[in-house]
Amino acid sequence: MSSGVAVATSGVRFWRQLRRHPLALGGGAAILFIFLVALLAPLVSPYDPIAQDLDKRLQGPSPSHWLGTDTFGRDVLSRIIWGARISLLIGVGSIALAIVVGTAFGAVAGFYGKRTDWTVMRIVDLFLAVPGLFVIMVIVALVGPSISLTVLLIAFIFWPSTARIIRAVVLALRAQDFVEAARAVGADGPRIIVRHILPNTAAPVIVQFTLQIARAIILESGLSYLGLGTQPPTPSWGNILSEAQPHLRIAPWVATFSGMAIWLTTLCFNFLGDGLRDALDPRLQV
Amino acid sequence: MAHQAYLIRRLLTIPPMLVGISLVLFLAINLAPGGPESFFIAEDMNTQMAEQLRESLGLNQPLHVRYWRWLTRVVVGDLGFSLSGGIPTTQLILDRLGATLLLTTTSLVIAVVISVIVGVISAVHQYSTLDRVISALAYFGMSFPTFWLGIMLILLFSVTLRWLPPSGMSEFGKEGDLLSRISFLVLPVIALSAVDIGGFVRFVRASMLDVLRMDYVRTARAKGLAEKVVVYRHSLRNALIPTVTVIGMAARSLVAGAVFVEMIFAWPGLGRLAVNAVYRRDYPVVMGVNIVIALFVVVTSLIVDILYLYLDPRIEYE
Repeated sequence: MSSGVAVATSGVRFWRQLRRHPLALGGGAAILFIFLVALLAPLVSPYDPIAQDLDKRLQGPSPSHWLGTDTFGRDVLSRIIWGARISLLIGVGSIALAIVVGTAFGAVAGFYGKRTDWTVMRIVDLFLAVPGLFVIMVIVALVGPSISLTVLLIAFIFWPSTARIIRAVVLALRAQDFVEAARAVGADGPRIIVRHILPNTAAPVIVQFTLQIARAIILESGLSYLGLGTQPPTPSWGNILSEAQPHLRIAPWVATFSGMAIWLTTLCFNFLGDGLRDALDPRLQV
Repeated sequence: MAHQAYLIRRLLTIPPMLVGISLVLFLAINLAPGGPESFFIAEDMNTQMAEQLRESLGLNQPLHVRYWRWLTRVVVGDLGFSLSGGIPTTQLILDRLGATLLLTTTSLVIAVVISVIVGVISAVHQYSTLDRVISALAYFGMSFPTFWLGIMLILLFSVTLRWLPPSGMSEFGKEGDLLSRISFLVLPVIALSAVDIGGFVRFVRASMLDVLRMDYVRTARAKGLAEKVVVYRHSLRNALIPTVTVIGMAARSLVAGAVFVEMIFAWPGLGRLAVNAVYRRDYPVVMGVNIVIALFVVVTSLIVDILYLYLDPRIEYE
């Protein structure tokens, strides 16, 4: 039962720490709100995001269209709401994948050490030096853009940094008594990694997850902005921005609001991530 | 002596690294559906003609033969010819390298100078209102999508206020006018450096706070040194050491950011060249630009490691 108590007290400490970060709490709440809006997009969005109304092209914000309309007379607010689905789906999906792959490689490298470690870390170094954005652009241009491809490619860029962090954590854990104890009672490598080491990497993984989602959302919208991500008419924050740029002079609101959605969402994830880092890992306090 | 051995070993890792990166790219280009031949071979082309084209381009050869041929030419500086226009890729890259270097180095220098000043002020006044405002601004900065910030800057300073030019690198007939050239540089540099400034400021602040807590700083204060001397002579120099690493890591994000900035501001650099090559499936140019960029990133991280050795005598690379 002692482990239950330990969990409870660390949970209490976690909340106490997190409460000291009003920005992190605010960011977390805002993220929940954005998720909710994205989930309920069919219910909360005032218009069909792809329905064109050519009589109402490029209208400024008004009571009927809070954030105005775009070049096809589509409601900008509705497009941003539906775009949230794509941005969050790709952001969360790609980073989840990156974390799984990165954790697997990092844990194996850190736990087995020696040759395995050396080999894995050289692969990690290689991937860290690859100009990721360019590789993504090349592959998308050749294969043709799709959501699943974007998720895969963003994961491909982000897994090495997770692998590095997890390796460092596992290196430290490997030498601890409880791992020695597990080994003494006869547990083999894979079992020790999964049952004893991985649960202890939760803190850095959660922090990494939150902070990297922010970067993945920016990357996805950047790709969509370049025409290599989500394809119109499906709205994504990046392609709304890209479609808005030619009309910047006469309809600045489209670019302003769609970009603001990316910016504020990223900001919230950064607030939350830093708050979580402080609350979960006192050693890493900045 | 140990340093020299380390440097030699470090230098020796660069060629395999570049080969690895180019191999990843080469495979990506050649194994993707469509592949490099899609530039030339239309779907309705008859098979005989398509076969002839493949042969004349060497695309009928096995992958490893083609990669080896590419690699042996690159080693002597021949990156092949652009498929659209037939200009040597090396030439295309050299023509644009200067523009990109100007943009990225200016942004980096400005980002470092501003963040060191602001980060130190923030750390010295820890938990003051000023510190909180700076921290908040740093968060805003590091969360910016570069491309959106660029568009917003154009909207404000070029479209609305008409203070600064929205695109290009110089005005026709005024290429020699330094002020005019600088006016073209201002907005792209702000857009590119904002994200890094946000990150650096937080890092400098944290690293400065670490140093200010150290015993030797307390000793310096205890023996009656002026606060200014303690901060700038004793603490700042040590606080800057870890900052060097961050600058090294920023090289990669700077290059990626430059792609967007060059697209938005019609800046005639490598990023723009790469994006347009990707759109046109001009794969010799794509490979060429990527190798140059990879080289840039790898060499920067080497320089950072070397700087580190000289800045911090405690560090011993094994």
